[in-house]
Amino acid sequence: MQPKNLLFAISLLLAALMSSVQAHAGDDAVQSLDSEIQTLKQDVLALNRELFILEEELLYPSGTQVAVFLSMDVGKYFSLDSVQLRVDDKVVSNYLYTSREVEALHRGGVQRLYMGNLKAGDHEIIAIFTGKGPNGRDYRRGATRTVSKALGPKFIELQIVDLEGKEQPDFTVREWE
Amino acid sequence: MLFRLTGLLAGMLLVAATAGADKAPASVRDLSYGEVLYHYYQDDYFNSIVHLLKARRQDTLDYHASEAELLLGGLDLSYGLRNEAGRIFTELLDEHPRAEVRNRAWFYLARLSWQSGDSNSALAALQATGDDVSPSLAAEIAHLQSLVLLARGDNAATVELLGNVRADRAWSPYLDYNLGVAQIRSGALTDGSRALAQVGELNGYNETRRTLRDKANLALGYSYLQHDEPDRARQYLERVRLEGPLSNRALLGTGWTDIEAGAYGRALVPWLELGSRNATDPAVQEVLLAIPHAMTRMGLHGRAVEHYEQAITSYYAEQARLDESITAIRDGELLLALQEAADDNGTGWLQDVDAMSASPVLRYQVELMARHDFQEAVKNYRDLRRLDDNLAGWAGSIGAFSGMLASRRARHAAQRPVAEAALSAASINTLAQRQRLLTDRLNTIEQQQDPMALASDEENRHWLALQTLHARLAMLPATAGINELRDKQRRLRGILYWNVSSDYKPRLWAAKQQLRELDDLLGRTRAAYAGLAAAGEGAPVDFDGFELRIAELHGEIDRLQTRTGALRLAQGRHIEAIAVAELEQQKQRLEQYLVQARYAMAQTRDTALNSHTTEILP
Repeated sequence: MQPKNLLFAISLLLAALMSSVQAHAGDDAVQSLDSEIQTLKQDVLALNRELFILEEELLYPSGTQVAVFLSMDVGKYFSLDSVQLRVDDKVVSNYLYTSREVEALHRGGVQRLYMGNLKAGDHEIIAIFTGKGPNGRDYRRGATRTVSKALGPKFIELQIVDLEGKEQPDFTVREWE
Repeated sequence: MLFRLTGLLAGMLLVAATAGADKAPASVRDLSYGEVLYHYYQDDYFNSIVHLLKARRQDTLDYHASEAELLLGGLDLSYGLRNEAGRIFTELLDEHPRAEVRNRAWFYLARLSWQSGDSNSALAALQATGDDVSPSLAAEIAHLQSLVLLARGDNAATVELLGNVRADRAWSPYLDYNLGVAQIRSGALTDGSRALAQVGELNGYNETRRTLRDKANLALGYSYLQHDEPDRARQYLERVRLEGPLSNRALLGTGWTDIEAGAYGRALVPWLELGSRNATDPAVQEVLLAIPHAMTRMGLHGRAVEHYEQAITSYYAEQARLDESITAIRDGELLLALQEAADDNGTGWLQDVDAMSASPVLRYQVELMARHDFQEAVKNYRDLRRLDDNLAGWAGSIGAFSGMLASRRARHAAQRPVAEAALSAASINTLAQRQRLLTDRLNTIEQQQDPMALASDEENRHWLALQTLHARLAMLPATAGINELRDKQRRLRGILYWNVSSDYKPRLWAAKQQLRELDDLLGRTRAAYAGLAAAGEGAPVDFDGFELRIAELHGEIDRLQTRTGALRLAQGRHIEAIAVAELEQQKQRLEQYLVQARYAMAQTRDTALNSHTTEILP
């Protein structure tokens, strides 16, 4: 290789290293394919929205609908492994969390843990949380609440919150209006 | 680098919720918005968008509506819906009262323009962002602006921009890197080297940072090489990891520093190591020419000719492998491999280098995946596959919905006569009538203040017995014994009356309370009746409504499945075309190397013959 080739090679390499220019889809056919895919994605998203609404209305009519959510407020004193949910002493959900899901909860996400139907009247909700408590010890705690179901949907939120003063986690059941 | 940062960029979409895991999340005031975030924080853009669209349709975003719109734009952008994202951001710019939201919208519009290759619009959008931005967004804006300016070759503007930015820690290495690049390009080697050297000493606690560190050292090494400072060049090139993705280019450069310094023998150390590596890498292909070049300079013409011959053999073999790969790609094996790769981030399957180098279709994927258009095409292809899976899932569910609706309709028809019979009975009216009578009676008792009207059954029995006794005693002669009995009857009657009348007020209150409860009970019964009646009337309409919706959605699933299938096919062809074009280009490069190798070999032979070398030429 001649010195001029060397310089050429170096220049090429430097250009590659230093340039942040992106390769762009150039021709119209590619642009049109991309646009078609975008439109399709939007149509499938809209279809999913309609199907989820249909499913909800069909399986969980508003008169009897009950949804249980789970959230964390910081949650630094408790590392969540699983939650068991009982409604009127019947287990309706047993959920095992992945680290990604726990992270999403830590960051403020709210999980829809359960959706079902309940008749009007009083019902007992029991949630049993399993995981690691302060100092990495195995931790199993329950939270319970009797909720009154009227005609219309009922939303319940299970919360894992930090009791800063006691340096302990706390578990609550909250009803949404 | 831009693509590697996508995750970081996505993490800063939110106005209210902070992305840092160590910080307390801003509390979510709409459960449905929290649900969107739950999917978003797991990088599940599809479900985040679906839940957001659903929440918007159901009007459940009372408190987070404006953030939700910005988030939706960002999610659309991450999911490749650039047109829709552009529409949302433009709308936010026109309508949103908060400067912070408008600034973010400008930023995302700039990214959109940049991604579609329109650097003028990108720059204009970036310049429109105001000062009301968070430090992290300010850093993102500076980073994107520096990329645009560098791409336009406006190095001076890049230096000016980045010289005045105070970025947060997460962004500063990237900004320093771009600053160094701009400075070196504009001739300020000392300043640029200082900036790059800083990045070159970065704490490499993750692969992204380690690669950035390697990149800075490699760029520095080649800069010094270009400026005839081989010793300094070598110093930086040697800092590049030997097993990292840039090690081949670093080894190549290290050899060149030795050549520049006249140390031809020393150049052979990194080069022979590089020459033994996988020949699909362009740096390895290049070094196959560089090795005999060094040998020629050392006067080892015979060995040089041998190495030129080896290079030629290797290039031919590589060309054959490229042909094999092109055939395999055209036979659809690449698409098959992409389908089989199940991981989410789309690059994990490229980690198994040994398996890849053995496979004709995967042999060149690392280079291909470095190309933005190929990455985007593969991403779209995988998205299409997921859409296909999603639609197939719903196609199964919608059938179940139909079945469920049919059985519910049948059950309703069977139960309807019973419900109608219950509804048509006048029992609710009879109960109401009885309740009215009781109320009237209690009112009369209260007006007449008649305590005995509130006596219990037992007290009434006793009262009646005493009255009967009184009547019978009245008919008997007034003997001493009878008189004693009459006194006793009067006393007992007085006691009973006293007992009942002294308890009159609590009894009256209890009776009223019972009436109130009865009233409440009747009210609830009436509501239940009304509900039952409404359900009876509404159900057939709902059944029909559901049936219609199910039919429509079923049709839509079918139509979208057909479109997805067709687009998957087209996208597959597009990916194959990119891959084949890339491999053809590599073949052309090898062709050039072959010409150079043959020419250099002939030249070496001539030189050897003319210099009457004692070496035996092959």
